[in-house]
Amino acid sequence: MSDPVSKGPGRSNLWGAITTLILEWAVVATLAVVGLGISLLMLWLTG
Amino acid sequence: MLIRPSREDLRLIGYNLGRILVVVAVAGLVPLTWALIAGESAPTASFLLMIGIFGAVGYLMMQRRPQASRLEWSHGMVIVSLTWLIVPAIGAIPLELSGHYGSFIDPYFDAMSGLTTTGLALIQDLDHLATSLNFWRHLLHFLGGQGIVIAVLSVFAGGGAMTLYYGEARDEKIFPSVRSTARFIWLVSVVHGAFGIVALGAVGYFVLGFRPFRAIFHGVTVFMAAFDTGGFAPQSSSLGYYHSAAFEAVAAVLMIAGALSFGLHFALWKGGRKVVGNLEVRTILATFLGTLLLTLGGLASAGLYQSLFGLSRQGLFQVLSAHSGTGFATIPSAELATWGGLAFGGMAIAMALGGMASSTAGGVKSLRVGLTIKALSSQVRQVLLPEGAVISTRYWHHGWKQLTSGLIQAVMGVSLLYVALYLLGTGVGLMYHLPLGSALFESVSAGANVGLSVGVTDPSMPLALKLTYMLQMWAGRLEFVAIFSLIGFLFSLVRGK
Amino acid sequence: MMRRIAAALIVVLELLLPRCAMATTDVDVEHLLTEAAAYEGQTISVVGELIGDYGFRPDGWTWTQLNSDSYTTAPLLEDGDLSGSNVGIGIRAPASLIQDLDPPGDYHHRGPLVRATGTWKYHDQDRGGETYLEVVTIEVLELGKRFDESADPIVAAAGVFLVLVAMWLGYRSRLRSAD
Repeated sequence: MSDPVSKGPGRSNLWGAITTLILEWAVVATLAVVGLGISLLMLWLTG
Repeated sequence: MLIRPSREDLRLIGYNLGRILVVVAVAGLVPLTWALIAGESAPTASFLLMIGIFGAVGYLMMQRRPQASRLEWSHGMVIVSLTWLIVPAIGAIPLELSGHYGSFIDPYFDAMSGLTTTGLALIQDLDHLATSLNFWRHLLHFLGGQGIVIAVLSVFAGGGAMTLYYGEARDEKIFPSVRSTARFIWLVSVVHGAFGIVALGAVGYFVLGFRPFRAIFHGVTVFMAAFDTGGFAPQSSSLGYYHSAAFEAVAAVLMIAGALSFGLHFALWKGGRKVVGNLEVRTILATFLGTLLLTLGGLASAGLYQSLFGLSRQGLFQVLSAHSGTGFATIPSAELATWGGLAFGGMAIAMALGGMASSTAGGVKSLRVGLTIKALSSQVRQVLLPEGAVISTRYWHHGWKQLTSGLIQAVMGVSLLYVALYLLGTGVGLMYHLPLGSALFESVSAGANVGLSVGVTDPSMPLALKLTYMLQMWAGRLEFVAIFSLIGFLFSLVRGK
Repeated sequence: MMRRIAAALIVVLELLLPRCAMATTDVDVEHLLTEAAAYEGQTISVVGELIGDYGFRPDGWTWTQLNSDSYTTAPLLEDGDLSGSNVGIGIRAPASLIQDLDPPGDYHHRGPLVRATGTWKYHDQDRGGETYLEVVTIEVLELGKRFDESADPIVAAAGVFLVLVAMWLGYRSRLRSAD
């Protein structure tokens, strides 16, 4: 097992960085859908 | 009994403070180069002056090398709080010389706002500001968001360096070594920087039709303001300038990344299996949805936006900006000031709560909110159970942890200090006859390092209000401990024996 | 596509119609921003400096900002006085109206001073709630101009001196730590 202190997340984990970025995009997309849903509900409730 | 700090203490503090100033002088070479390339003569000279002052003062402080190299807690805290006072003071010099400010307190306010990643601004005629100076404003966000001390630690972490790290209100040590932790923080920033600048620049060039240099300029500046949850923008109309949902979406990704703690970034990089169970993640999701619901409900009931896309886009972006502590706006301050009722409440609460601990965001922070809720629910359970029953409460935050009474006290204490900080600015605002809503909104924005404004922050506002907001930005960013340490240090310097 | 055709038609109509047919009253931009909802859908004229960028988008529209504050007539680099933050609105116009204009205002330039006439769109439903002026005609009132700016020799000299002092002090402290 590699030592995290000396190596940090390491080059092999650059894939982790990419998946993090993808995840952040997914969060924004989800929030957009949630925002649309809540907006629809609110517009409907307020006529 | 108070012990007067020794000469050795002062030497240790001065030496390390000097080292930080020298690093900032080196950082000043970037806007200097930018000014030279852009052919901006006056800013070139003022950056040269700023670098000279940073360098000369820094090296002067380093002339007396201390015998001991190990920093104690009090040293670290004093160094950090002084750093966050001195760097904006010297960093304000090029801004002051630009002629875009009325008095020296205004550029100092802006530099403090930049460094603390707040985003409130007193600059006048921003749209004619030199690009190098505009870049410097945003670089202050980057230096402050990443933590100036982090920059120093990643180069030379000496004995007791952790005290500096904690002084900047970071309580998550990702690796046992502080230098590795500092370097990981930089690695995350570089990866997001590469992605953010390319994505924003590409949208600027291909979608918005900007010239290549301008697309890069907007990409670099907006990246620094978004990822460091700052809120300065290169143009006076903030992100409303771009009139582009695509640009706002990329900025939103960076704002979210900035509001995540670096510990969470590390967990995600490592595979992130237990991220969803994290108390902080759950809390921020819950408070975000709650404030979004309030704001959208308020906007819909006020009939401000008739279309579904309009309501969700404008409401979502503003709430995200408030909750992440960024402070970008796609609507003018005058319009934000008209958001009353639920929308006002949603925005104010989102700002006050803020992002995650050990991130670039300000505010009370989700972990404290989550722990407070846990503590309260534990209290309620205790009341409902038979007398003598023992309740053990655990929570998941990068591992299972026990909710102890000491932890609850600490969390409640800091949370109460934030409330007091918000009320302080509100009180001073009321003293100058501001409407309660405006005084509260602006005060929370300053204290939680957000930067959204309803128009109160203006060059013509009273000096006392400017100083109060500066104090709020400084205290809010450093989360009080470093500042109390500085006050205690100064007191013992005078009254100690 | 329909928008592009519509934009082209508007430009053609503008060229064919007599000048007086487009006459509207000038609206002060600061007032427009505070009473934005009241002008929704109205044809209005605003006077100001085009500033920032000309964003020539693939759909044929060009976006830019129009500022109407004291800096448009009395720029800071020409000893104008400070008068607060910028006051501006976003405008979009067919590319043909913008492409031949002088560069937009920035540090080195005062952008062209224009009277832009068009429809005020407040929380436009078709554009995700954005607020802007959809311009039909642009009348250039004053051409843009380049500012002269130069470094203050005292600031530059002080800067060079202090950098040299810093380098000397740095060299000294290095020598000491080497001992």
